[in-house]
Amino acid sequence: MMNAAIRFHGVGKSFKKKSVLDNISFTVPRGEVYGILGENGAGKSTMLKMMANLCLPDQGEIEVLGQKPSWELYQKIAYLSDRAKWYSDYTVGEALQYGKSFYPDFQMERAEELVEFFKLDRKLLGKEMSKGQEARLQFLLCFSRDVELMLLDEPFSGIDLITREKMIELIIESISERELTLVITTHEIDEVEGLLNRVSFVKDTKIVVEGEVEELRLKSGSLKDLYRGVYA
Amino acid sequence: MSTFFKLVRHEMKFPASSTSFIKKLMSLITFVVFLGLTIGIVLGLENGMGNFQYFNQTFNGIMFVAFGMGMGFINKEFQKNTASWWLTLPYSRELLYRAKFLSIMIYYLYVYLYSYLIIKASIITAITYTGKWSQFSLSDVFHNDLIFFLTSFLGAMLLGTYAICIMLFTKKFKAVSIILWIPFGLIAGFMMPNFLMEMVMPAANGESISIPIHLLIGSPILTTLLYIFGVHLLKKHTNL
Repeated sequence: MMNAAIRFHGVGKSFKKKSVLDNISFTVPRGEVYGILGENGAGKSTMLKMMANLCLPDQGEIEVLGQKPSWELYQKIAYLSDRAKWYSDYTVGEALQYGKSFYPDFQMERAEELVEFFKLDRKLLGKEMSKGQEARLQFLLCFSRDVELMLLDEPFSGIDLITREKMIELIIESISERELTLVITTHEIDEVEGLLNRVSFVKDTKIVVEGEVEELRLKSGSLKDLYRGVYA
Repeated sequence: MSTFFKLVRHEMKFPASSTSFIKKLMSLITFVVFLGLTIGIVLGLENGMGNFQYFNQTFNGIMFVAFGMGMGFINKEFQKNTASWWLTLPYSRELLYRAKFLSIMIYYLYVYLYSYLIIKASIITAITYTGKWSQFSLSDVFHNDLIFFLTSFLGAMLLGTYAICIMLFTKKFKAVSIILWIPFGLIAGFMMPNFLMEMVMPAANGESISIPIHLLIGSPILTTLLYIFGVHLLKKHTNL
């Protein structure tokens, strides 16, 4: 596919001789919201790390925005790890300065708006934040950037309902405003079903189902039913 | 401000508590401990400055603080799960590594200067307190300090870089191999006692100071090699 944001071709990865991904091939078209679904430990996060050049494949090839993963890509992508924590000694206000200092595409005005949207106190220190507040801040830092591709690893895991709703609202707003490719890994289908254009289900190191969400819904009723069918 | 110095400033960000009452109290306790130690040395002095040189030689062990800092700076990123923010900054891994390394050395200089001032203050106080100024001049107190600083700084550069490499290496290969610690022992042996004795003792007897050429040449070469290795590890083998 010519207009692909991400292309995996025959990708394999093992950790300590245990295969976590085997012969994975798929394409994420530009401007779409792509979901990688699967149980815990299925290899979803590893796939995202590979896209973000934080983990190298043992076999196969990966292309992200038309090039091999490298640090140069960080000018065009934002990555939010499922385990990421914000620096404990930075306040919210200092976090915005951090964004402005280090990301050339960081939009300060947008960030200021999002501070209000997420109801964050600018003087709040990282170590004083609740999990929800920290998630909001990290989300804010990603979504204040004008990037082509965003990689979100389990963004809603362990987050309270209000924060989740605000996050989803922000995602919807962002994808409607500009051409943004979004890749989300999750096992919480309810949260993301309405967002996704395409989806892949990962099971036992392989992609077992892949396709457009609408087509899959027509065949199986809903993603949740399909999920049950795959993993039950 | 250039990106590099912004990165260094980010690395150097002190927690707010570091300027607290506890820090001042720790300074006072450190001074009192050094003062007690120095008074003991001064009271026991029979052979002039030779004993002070031993004291300085021991102080040079502070270079190993840079090793601890190197490990701590890298480990903190992974332990506190901030590494994904650090490693996805839109700058080359080489630049990120260089900023980390420079911040370690600046921290080291801070610790060195802080300790140096406390030690010198305690020496002067101890000599005054014991009334032994007839045996020493002020220049005796600061004798060879520049050489000690130079050797200590070169050693700290080498040990700091080596510590970063160890920490990055263990992120890929979880078990810390004994192979990693053998070079550490070799470096420690290379850095510390023998050449310092060679350098210091003639000076202590009022003769000329012999500068350890193998350290002046060997340390920057080893540091450079470890630096290249460290950047390679950061590029290729850092699984989060």
